[in-house]
Amino acid sequence: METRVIHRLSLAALRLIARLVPRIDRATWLHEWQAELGNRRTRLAARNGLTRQQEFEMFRRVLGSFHDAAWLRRQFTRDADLVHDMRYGARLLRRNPGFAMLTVTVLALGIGATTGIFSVVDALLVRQLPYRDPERIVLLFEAPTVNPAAIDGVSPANFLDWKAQVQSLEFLTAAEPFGYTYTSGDEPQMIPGSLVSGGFFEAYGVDALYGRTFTTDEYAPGRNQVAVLSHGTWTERFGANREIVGRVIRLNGQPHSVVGVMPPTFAPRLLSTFSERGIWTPKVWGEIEQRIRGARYYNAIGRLKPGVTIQQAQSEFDGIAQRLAQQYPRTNSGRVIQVVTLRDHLAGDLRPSIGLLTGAVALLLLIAIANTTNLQLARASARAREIAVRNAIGADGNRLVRQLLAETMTIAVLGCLLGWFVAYGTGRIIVSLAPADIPALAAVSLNGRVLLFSAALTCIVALLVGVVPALKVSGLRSSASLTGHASEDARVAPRQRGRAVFVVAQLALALTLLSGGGLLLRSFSQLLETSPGFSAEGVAALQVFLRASEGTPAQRVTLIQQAIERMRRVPGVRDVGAASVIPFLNTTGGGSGAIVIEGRPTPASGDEPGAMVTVATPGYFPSMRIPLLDGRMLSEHDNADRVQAALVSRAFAQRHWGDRSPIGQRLRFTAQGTPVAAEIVGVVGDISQTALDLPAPPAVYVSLAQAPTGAVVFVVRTSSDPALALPALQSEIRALLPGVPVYRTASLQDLVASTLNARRFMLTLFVAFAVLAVTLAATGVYGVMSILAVQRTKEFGLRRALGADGPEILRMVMRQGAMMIAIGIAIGLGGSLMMGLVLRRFLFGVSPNDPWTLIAVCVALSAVGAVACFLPALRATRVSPLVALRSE
Amino acid sequence: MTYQTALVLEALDAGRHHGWDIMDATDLPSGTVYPILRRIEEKGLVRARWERESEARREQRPTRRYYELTPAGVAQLGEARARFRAMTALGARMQRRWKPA
Repeated sequence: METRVIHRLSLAALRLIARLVPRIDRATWLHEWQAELGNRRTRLAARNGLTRQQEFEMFRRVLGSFHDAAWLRRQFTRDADLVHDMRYGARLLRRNPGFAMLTVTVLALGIGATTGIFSVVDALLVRQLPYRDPERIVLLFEAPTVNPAAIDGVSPANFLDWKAQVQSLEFLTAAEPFGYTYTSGDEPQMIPGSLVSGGFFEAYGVDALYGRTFTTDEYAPGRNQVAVLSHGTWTERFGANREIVGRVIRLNGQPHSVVGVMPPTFAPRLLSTFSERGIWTPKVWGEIEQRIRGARYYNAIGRLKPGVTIQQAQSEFDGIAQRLAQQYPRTNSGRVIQVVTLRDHLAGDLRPSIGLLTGAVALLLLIAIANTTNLQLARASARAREIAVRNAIGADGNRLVRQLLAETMTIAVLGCLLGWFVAYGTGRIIVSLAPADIPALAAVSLNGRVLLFSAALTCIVALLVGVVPALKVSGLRSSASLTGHASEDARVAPRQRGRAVFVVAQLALALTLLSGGGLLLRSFSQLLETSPGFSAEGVAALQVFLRASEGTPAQRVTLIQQAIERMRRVPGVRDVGAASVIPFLNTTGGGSGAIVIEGRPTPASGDEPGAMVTVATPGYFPSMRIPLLDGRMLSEHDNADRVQAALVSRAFAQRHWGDRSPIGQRLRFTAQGTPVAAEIVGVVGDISQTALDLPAPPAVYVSLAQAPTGAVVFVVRTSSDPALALPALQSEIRALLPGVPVYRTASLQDLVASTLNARRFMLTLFVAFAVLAVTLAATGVYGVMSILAVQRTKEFGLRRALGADGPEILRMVMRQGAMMIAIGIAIGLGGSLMMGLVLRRFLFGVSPNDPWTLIAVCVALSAVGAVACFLPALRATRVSPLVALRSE
Repeated sequence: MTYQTALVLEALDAGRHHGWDIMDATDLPSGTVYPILRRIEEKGLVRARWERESEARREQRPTRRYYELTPAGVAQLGEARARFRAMTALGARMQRRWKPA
């Protein structure tokens, strides 16, 4: 045969065989073989001409390329096997839906709860705020040195001094909370808003959605009749009408032209307790602001200069605070300035709770992983026979491991998908339970970042869950599985021990979470039993501000007294009073001040005794049910013509006079801007001011008639639900004071309860996680006990045949379970003690290692565990002796 | 490691860098040599690349696939030599017999 013909045959064979090579490698493969063939021919031809023999030899080699191509094809199919494995896994799950549902549910709970918590972490701590360079925006607060966490606003005079001295901020601007009375038609409406000083919108770095923000010359008298609306106000009150920009509206009786509408994302909630503000107008500084140093009711917002850190700004403000304290010791000694980033402020008190809940949910996830691992192990040994068969007919160990991992992955992916629903639910529950004043929570959602997190989590979980059973299976090559005596395989015993380890781990983790939940529950019930020192039940609170337009200070006091008289006549009302500050209704401007006790040496600046100073009408005390302990109450006779009279709280009396009576002593202090020199006429009970878990601060009360103010809260004790009386009370105020809107109404009981929201929030979630954990652990115990009991069926049958009775077998199984539970609880107790330490700052009235809580949770978990063991044990007692005989 | 794999490593060490040259040196059929090359390439014992175009053009032939031992491959060969002692002599013979086909 011609050498050319043989060569053509070779080339054709190569092209044919190349079809076997995976498409992705085909061209390269063909090139390599053709090059080798071509090269060989060229060389041989050049040397001494091609012989037919040599051409045949080359053809033979070309045919050998088949093995090469087949090898490549096998390699490729093995990689494609992953898809095949997952399909096979899904098929197996369909064949065993009960098992599939159980594992998927357990994983969905674990992954879902974790993702849900992450969505909250994302909203609070990760997500970008809708402002320019938000990390540079800071809020500034004054706070007492003794309790820097009790942040307060800033007084106008202090703010002006800060602004004159500060170097580290690009902008420093103030917002004065202000209630605008908006009139359109007959009914005056109250719209909370702020007077803002120059640079307010620039500090946030936000432009108006429509129109513009204020120009620099609009912060001047005569030019300041302009307003910017929030998106909320614009939609609710002005029907989202764009034509509003440029129109004139009446605010506080004055025409203001609307220059702009802010975007919906602009929500500068400053002090967390303040409600959303809907209108901004320019602040014009007057002479009066330079003198107000004691009333801290401004919000200060700043923008750090580029490159300046928050620590640098804080240390600058520490210096400013020191200088001001020396300059104005009466108002500024013992005060610090807190510089807080906007993000930290928005996350508020939730940050420590979220940290803790993240820990709790991590424990829950671990339990879910241990639980699923056990279920997978159980299934792997149930499939021992199938795996042994596949092994025997040539599947290699790695291939089987890969297949098991792919199956776990299928389960985990399903768990993740279902988990997204759980996560969505968890997120919603958290938002609905969370204290209402955490602005950042509104942004909780399942965004791309959160979903990515859950996908990554799923992969990790799948690996953790799949790796142990897969490794076990790869070791399972013995013929014992094939012969059907799987349960007698020597390897089975350690495998059961492994499974017991996972159950013990679940029990220990569940006990840790349960004890945490127990401690929080005990704290909460302790708090509920704590009396605030007054009776909040049936009390309505109505806040009003009477301005100078309503008359002189004395005239305003008369109006307030008239309003009290009118409200007293409303059916169902038992007592009415008014005070400048009431507990649990966070009103700025009222509050603590320095007190001078006459006849005592003047203490060093900063060491003056402080107290909550409240201006109150005589009716305030009976309305609140604050008890009189010594002397007399304030009365109608304590008016402007008489010597000023003061009441002090028990805490104040004890601090300064010990057990002696303070009656007749004289105090000097400032109440609502009025200097007061009063004689102590009585001692009243202590009342909590802001939280049930904080000690009641010392308090001083002075009569409204002797220290007039227009900013008061009416407290009305009713014989029924205060909400029912509110409309009648409001209409009395409206009838007497037509131009004065009621700024805020509330039930005092709700106000007190709302301070427990943060705790209730944590408690609910923590307990929910703990209950889930216990449920998962119980299913774990049940599962393992069932398998153990089934594997000992023959043994039990034999024992029955030899004369053991039912109770004896029950005891045997229960003993085995009790062992696991006891070890789990012993390890869990260690975890519980650590949990107590972690929780310490959240506890109230209960020690971190409270023995009763520990005992209770141990008993509860043991009981649940015992029930979980009992069912398999009961089944074991029903084994007939015939079973043993039959199987031999 | 199989004896055949060791032979292929030895051939590579002896300067045979192309598939067919390795077959010549080892007397192994193509259906054995190539899968071995693929496997040891996957394990990182050899590195494969295409010859430079200029090199091939100078010799007026298509560019060939060029295989060479990696440091790991050299180490592996050392182990193989210790295991298959007869191979050392074989390697020496390969070196002697070597003339480009």
